[in-house]
Parts: sequence; structure tokens; C-alpha cells
Amino acid sequence: MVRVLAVCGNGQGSSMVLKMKMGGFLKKNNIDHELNSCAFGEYKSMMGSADIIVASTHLADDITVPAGKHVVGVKNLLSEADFGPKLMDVIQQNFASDVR
Amino acid sequence: MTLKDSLIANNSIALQAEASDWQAAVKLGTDLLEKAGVVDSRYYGAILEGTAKFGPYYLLAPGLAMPHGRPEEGVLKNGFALVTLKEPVVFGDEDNDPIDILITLAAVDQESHNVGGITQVVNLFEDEDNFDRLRAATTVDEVIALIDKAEADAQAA
Repeated sequence: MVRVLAVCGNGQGSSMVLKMKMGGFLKKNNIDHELNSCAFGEYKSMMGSADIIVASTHLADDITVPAGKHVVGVKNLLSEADFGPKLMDVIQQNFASDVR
Repeated sequence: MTLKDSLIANNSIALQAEASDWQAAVKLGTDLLEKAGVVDSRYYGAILEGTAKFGPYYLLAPGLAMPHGRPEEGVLKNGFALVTLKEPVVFGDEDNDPIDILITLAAVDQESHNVGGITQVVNLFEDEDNFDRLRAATTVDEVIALIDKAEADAQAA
């Protein structure tokens, strides 16, 4: 199961939107996944239970993750055409066993 | 509380409004919420501070912003405001500027109503034509009809 964490400035607006949009997308693509969201200030403490962190591009640039974990930057949070291919690339390259 | 119920109960829709810059645009939304007793006067300043710290993290898509602060920054109850601008403003984000649709969000905690409310926001923009339909709307009834239609489409999907 790939664990995806949506991050935004304060953890309750944009990250919730992103979480909803990604949930629909991952389900449609048959990815075995778990989704969470949090504020920028909380991502480090949430890192232990996440494989991929997704955030808007300007926040993504400031997010650092240890080896084996991944960051995806998104411009248009409402557009599958934006986040979808980026997210699928990371999943197919690193979490291929979660694609059912 | 859903987006639609909140907009009606709080009378918090302003269409084709005028704002000289992004701060004024954000204030249009927070003023509506303050008048409705959804937030207190701290909320506007908190959003500006958050923007200074993180950048405009609440820009969702080209043309669309969802400004919001944290629950402890002056939120009294859950609510939304919806503002469209006659002339767009620039937030300093080349990916999504210029912005002329703002849905201001106030939430007393992270989960509560916003699952329902934000779902309606997401559904509303599922149809990309709704960006232009909202921009063109001049009455509250038109906005409510768009939300209703988006909900019906989401149910049917």
C-alpha cells in the first residue's frame, strides 16, 4: 500500500482539496493507497507514515524527505491532468506492486 | 455545513466586485464572513500573515483562490464566502494568476463541516466551464443553481 500525504500551508483547505481529488484518481487507477493531509508545519512528524508527499509547487520546493520517500509538486490542485501523471510516475517507478 | 447552505445562511456572496489588489480581494470575502459572525476581525490579518509566510498556498487552480487561516485565528463558526471580481488581481503565483474567483473558507477544526463543504467546492469546479459560468453570474440564484447542478452531476457520476 502506497501512503500519500497532502500538505498545504495550514492543513485544512488546499490539502483537503488535494486529498479528495487524489482519492478519486488513485481509486480510478486501482492503486492500493492510504491518504492523509496535514499542515506544512506538521509534515516532518507525519513523514513516518507517508511514502509520497504532495503539495503545491511553492511548498514542495521547501519540503525535504529522506531516501526512499518522494515529493510531488502540483500547480493546479483541481486538475488530474496536472497531478495525475506526476503521481503515477512516482508510483510506477517505486511502488509498482501497489498497482492492482 | 455545505457550501450552498453556508452561502445562503450567511448571505456571503459578492459578484463582479471590485478590488484594487489581492489584499483587497481577500478582504471582500473576510468582510462578508465577519458581518455574518463567522469570523472576527483577526481573520483577515491572519490570512495576510500566512501568505507572507507560505506564499499564496490557497490558490487552487488558474483563476481560483480559497483563502483561509487556521481555526484559532478568529474563526467563530464554519462558513464560506464566494466572491467574483470584475477585474482579476495578482497574488504572485505565475501558475495560477490572475485570480478572479475567491472562495473564502472558515473552519473551526480540520475535519468537521469541511469534508461536506469542500466536497461541494471540488464538485463545483469538476466541470471546467463552471469557472466562466461563475464569472458571468450576476445573481445569487445563478450561483446556487450552478452548485445544485454540480451536486446532481456528482451524484449521477
